[in-house]
Amino acid sequence: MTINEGTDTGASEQGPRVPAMQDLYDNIWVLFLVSLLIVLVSYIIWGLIDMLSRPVLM
Amino acid sequence: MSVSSRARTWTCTVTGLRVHESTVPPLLVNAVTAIVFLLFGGIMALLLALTRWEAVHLLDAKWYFIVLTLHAWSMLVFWMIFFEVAILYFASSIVLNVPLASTRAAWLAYVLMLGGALLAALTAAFQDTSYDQPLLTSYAPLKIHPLFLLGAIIFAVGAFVALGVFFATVWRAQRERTYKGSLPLVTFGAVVAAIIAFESLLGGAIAYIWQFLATLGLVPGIDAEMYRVVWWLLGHGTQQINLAAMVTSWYLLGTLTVGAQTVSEKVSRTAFILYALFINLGAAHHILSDPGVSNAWRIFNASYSVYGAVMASLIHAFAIPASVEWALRRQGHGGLFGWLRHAPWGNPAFASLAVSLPLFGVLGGITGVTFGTEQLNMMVHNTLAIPGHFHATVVAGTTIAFMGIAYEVIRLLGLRELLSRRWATVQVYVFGAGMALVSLAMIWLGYFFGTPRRHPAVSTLPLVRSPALEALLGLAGVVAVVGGTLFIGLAVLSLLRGAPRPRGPVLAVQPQPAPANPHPTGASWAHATQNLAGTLTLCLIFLGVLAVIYATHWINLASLWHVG
Amino acid sequence: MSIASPSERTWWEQPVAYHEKIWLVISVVTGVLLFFMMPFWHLFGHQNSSAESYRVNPQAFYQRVQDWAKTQRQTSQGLAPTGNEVYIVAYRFAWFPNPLVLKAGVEYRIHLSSRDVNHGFSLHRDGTTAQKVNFQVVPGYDYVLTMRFTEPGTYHLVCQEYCGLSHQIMVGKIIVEG
Repeated sequence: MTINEGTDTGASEQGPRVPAMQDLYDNIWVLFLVSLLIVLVSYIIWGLIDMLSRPVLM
Repeated sequence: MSVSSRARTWTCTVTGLRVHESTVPPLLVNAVTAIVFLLFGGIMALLLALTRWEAVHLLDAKWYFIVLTLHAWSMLVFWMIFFEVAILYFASSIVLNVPLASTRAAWLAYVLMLGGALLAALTAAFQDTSYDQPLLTSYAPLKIHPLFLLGAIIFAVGAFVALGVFFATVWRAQRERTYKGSLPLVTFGAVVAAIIAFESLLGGAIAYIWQFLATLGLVPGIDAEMYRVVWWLLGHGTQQINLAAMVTSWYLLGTLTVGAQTVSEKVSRTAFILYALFINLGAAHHILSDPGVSNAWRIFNASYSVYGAVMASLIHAFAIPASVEWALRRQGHGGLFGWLRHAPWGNPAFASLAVSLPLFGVLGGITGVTFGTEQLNMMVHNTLAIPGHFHATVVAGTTIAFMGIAYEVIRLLGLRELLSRRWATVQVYVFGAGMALVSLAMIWLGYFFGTPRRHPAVSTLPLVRSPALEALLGLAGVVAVVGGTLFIGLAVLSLLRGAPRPRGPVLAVQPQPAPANPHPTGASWAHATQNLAGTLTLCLIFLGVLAVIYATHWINLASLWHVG
Repeated sequence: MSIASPSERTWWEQPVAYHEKIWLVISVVTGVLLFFMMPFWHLFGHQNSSAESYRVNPQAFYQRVQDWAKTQRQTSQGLAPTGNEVYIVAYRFAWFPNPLVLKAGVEYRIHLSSRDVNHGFSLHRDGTTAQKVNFQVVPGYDYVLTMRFTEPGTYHLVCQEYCGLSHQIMVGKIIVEG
């Protein structure tokens, strides 16, 4: 199952160097982490802060 | 290890993909289980349609709420998520040419999901009437049966395990370098769907575990608005999994039916990334007319971060038809729309793509943008227009796309011919027509008549009604159920009794590595000159319709009395 | 093909087709316009979501409404608030006070909450179809909606959030006098 091809991104007999942005796009683990952070901060934490800061009337 | 796993693979004669034998049973079992829940949910749908049609008024209040709960969970959760697990296993193991990271974990996931689903459904159906029906949303502090909550939690745990299998499989493929370069687009889309799923299930886990512990008296009850905010991360999030999985399915259907390839990997992947980053913020659509949150939170989150995820949908709405247009033009069909006329309309998989995409976009997408706008929401919050919107997206959109995928799975993985290609195609159009009318009727009733959703007897209300639209809803519902029944019959019977299809040979040699870039400077000018005028025209027409409907909503809002 | 890795190794550098570029610009402009409509309407429009709410104890709010109602004017048509602060509480399965008599042209501050579970404040102008507003009524929150009726008439108050088996009987009335 292993295809031996050396490094994916270095310029080699395989072809030109892969642009840095393309590498970032390919990094699904960074995407996972950043996505999780965005929803936690923008939706959950900001929303909770809003609700918890409502003044208590009675 | 590699010798024995090579011996347990076969080659798909259509795609050339190598299929690991061990992946097929969990994949097929999840897909078939999904279809069983579709069947059950469809029967519930018929009962509901014949109740909302007040002239028939089949169910009383008690049964209406029970059937509504069963219908909602069967369709929005069980049919969708079981099928999506099958898609995830396909996009990881089969597309990336690697066995599932753990078939044992895959079976564990299945057992947990099925067990949880049955526990939740049976509880809802047979619980004592002193408990409230959860419907889909189980809003605290309704008195929800703890066994129902436990069932939901067990289902969610199973789904988490399935996600784990998916991510571990992709990780394994990356480590073992079973593909060269970037992930195929279908797998990338599936990853995005899985990220969205993880976030959604996380929200659901927090809401349900807290609610379960509170029901047992172990923790104080959860604040009702906090419950809504957190729960809707699950509620709307699960539907965004459906969106990402549907879009992924559309690219796949284009490839399988006309050999389509996206016109720009960069653009399509950018759109998928926008989905992953921002789409779950849209859960705020359900909190637009609620106390507790600020308007800034509403505006930013409900717009998916300055409409980032809507731009993504607009991009896919262009890119997918464009990929089909490009493929058909390469086959020699020209003219502004000539390529469309020569598309394989008699292929059920193509029909599912061609029907679900416009219905999703026009009926579902437009209402999603309008109803999800902060101020416009007050005209439709909790009216029948909301189910109208999501029947257009989840049913006319995702379900029809998944029907096409199911037909292809039966042929290419189940290795059975369809019993009747013609009836499979007819089924897609019948179901599509029925669901389009169901959605339209619901949207019209909710938007123009203010008919409430989740109501067992609108004829008792002092509101202006439209018996004609209610009848349309009921009748169109019957048509849709007929189309759905046709699908289930064809799918199950083909899987059991369709003519066997041949497997391709096991490859004795390693697959050839991808060719080096023929244009080392990076410019592939052939791509830049693609003629996509047909798709652009269709998209501009769509945008025009959106603009008119959007403007009309604001004009209607302005005629209301003052609220703020 | 979508099921294969991109054949262009450096697909990032592949130029984008002209027609797709046009659509990309249109998509971004559309998104930005859609976004700015919302703050725009807050500045210039008269129908917006209210962000004013307070945390309350549900039972205490219910009591507050009862106490307040006793100090207001009772007419043959219903309770007619004397000032512009109005309190409405929802509970299984009714609205209180009901009916209410208000005046057109007056800017009322309507305090909404629930004694028990979620309810829905759905106000429909009688005899019309599209004239309606819908808001969520949440226990534990006093939701203050500022409302100024422009037309006299009868407004039906329907609960449109499932609140239990008898959800369908929860109907009230607000009479707006000229």
